[in-house]
Amino acid sequence: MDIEQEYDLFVIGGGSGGLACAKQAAKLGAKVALADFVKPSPLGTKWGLGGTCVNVGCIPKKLMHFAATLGELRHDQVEAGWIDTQVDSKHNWEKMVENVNNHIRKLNFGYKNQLLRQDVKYYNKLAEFIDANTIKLTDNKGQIETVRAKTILIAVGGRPSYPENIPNIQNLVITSDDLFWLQENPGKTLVIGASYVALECGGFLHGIGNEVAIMVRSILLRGFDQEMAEKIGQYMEEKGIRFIKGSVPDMIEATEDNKRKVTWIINGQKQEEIFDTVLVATGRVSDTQKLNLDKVGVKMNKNGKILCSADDKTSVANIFAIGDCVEGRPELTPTAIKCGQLLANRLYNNGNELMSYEFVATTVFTPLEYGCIGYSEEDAIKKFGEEKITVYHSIFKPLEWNYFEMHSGESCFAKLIVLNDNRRIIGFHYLGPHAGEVTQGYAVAIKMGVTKEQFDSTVGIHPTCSEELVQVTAVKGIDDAQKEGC
Amino acid sequence: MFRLNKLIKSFGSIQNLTNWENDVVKASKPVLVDFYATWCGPCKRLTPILEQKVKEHPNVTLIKIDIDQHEQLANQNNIEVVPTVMLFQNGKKVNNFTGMLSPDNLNKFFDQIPKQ
Repeated sequence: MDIEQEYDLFVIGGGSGGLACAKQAAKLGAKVALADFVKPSPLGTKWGLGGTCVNVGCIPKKLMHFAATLGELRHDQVEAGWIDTQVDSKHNWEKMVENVNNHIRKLNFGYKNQLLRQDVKYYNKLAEFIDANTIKLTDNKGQIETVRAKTILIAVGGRPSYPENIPNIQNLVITSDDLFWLQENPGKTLVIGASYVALECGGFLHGIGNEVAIMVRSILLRGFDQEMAEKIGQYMEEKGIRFIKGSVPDMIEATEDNKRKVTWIINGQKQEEIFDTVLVATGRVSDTQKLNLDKVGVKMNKNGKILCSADDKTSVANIFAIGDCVEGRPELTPTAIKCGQLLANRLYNNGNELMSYEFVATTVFTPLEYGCIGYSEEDAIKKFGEEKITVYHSIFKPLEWNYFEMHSGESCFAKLIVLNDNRRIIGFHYLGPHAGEVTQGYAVAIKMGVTKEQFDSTVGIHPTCSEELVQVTAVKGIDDAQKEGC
Repeated sequence: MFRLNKLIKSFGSIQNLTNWENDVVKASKPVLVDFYATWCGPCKRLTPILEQKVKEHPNVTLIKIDIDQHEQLANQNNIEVVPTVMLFQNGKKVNNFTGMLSPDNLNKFFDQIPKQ
């Protein structure tokens, strides 16, 4: 076979991690190439360069979540004095999707340009290992070319997984891969899953006026602070989202008019209902199956996630892996980006800084948003012991919620978990509006080891929701989270 | 019908790209190339304006290029922003602009194109 190209670094996967590493490596003088190829979803959805976050994740999610919140503001608008606001106006799905998709295509174009400008060779082809230094690239017409590289980075991310007990399920349901590119409103939707993907998608679909039911097997947001998870669920239920708890689907069938008949069992009783769309969000699987990793000797766990050391090295000396496809990494864009950049620095600039995953701030964009940094209460108790921590909590009501009387006065909640012996804040939890914006700044302080007393000595900005965090005094187990009086 | 089209062409025309060499490089009259994308809002606003101006400047041909349909050409011309508009005369690029221009600046741009 004719091998024409040899690179210092070949990156497989053009998502958050892959792009960041490729660009940084090229900046540092390496000869870099990147292959990105989107295998269409079972329903045929595909997208351009940029990975999950840009195309079928964070970006469209946040835009659609924002669209839903705008609808919710209509009631507040009326009470704040605006005339002619229609609180029951309809939502135009096609218009939202067109604008979201156009923005994504703009980003795809931007990334392609960045690669071009930084001399990173871009292959829109599906990559597969031939040996530890040789990669086979196949384009969408089946044409094959082969390249060689000294170092190879696997950054292939993951794709949605499907429950295994239902025949033909891949053709009957949609996933997040499809939702953001649907050309028609999905209508009455059943969301199966309790992940943040399930709750965020179910949340904004309801917010734009769709009837939504969410079927959960057991708990919400496994891995997150469960007190916060319960409050998120409660808020969504109060808003009118139906939760079908303690169930999994038993059967999904297409009806004559192409709707979906779903059957499930609850307390031994069979239930069934017709939905326009079923959205499965029960988990994601690492996209490593077709890479030929076994042949090359790159070790994975039984779920296909690659096993790496702290310096992102796989079991093969010249092959590295970062991002969602690696075991033990958070499935987040910013950590993948930073990890990719640090890896490039270590490879091509004598850097030695390893990626740290401690105190990484995240936010769940459910109808009531949740920002968190550090330990959940459960994890803090497990690691340190209940008697070694103090939990502060507070229920609050945003000032702006006082126009429209239907806003709850008890839904917003803040919680700080403090380590007793050094008074460091090791867990930060905020449930309320603008959670992402509120949480980000605190991540800096918490990474620096801020103490509860330093928080308390910080003057709040008034009137905001964020100031609650530097004013919380009620101790869980002793004081009520609800403040008394006006 | 064919003769009529040729006649219309000689008065300046608007067309989608068929062949870069023939349409742009070998053209005898000034050619305005409009690199656009279907997902680009400003492009959707600019193209009709360019079409209108070309009607007012009949010696100019407007060639429209969808950068997603003609990726290689877009790369060869280093298109980093859309819309990008280039003026070619006798096979050479003599002027260009990116993004939406104000009506004043657009007029200035067109005024600099030599008439017959």
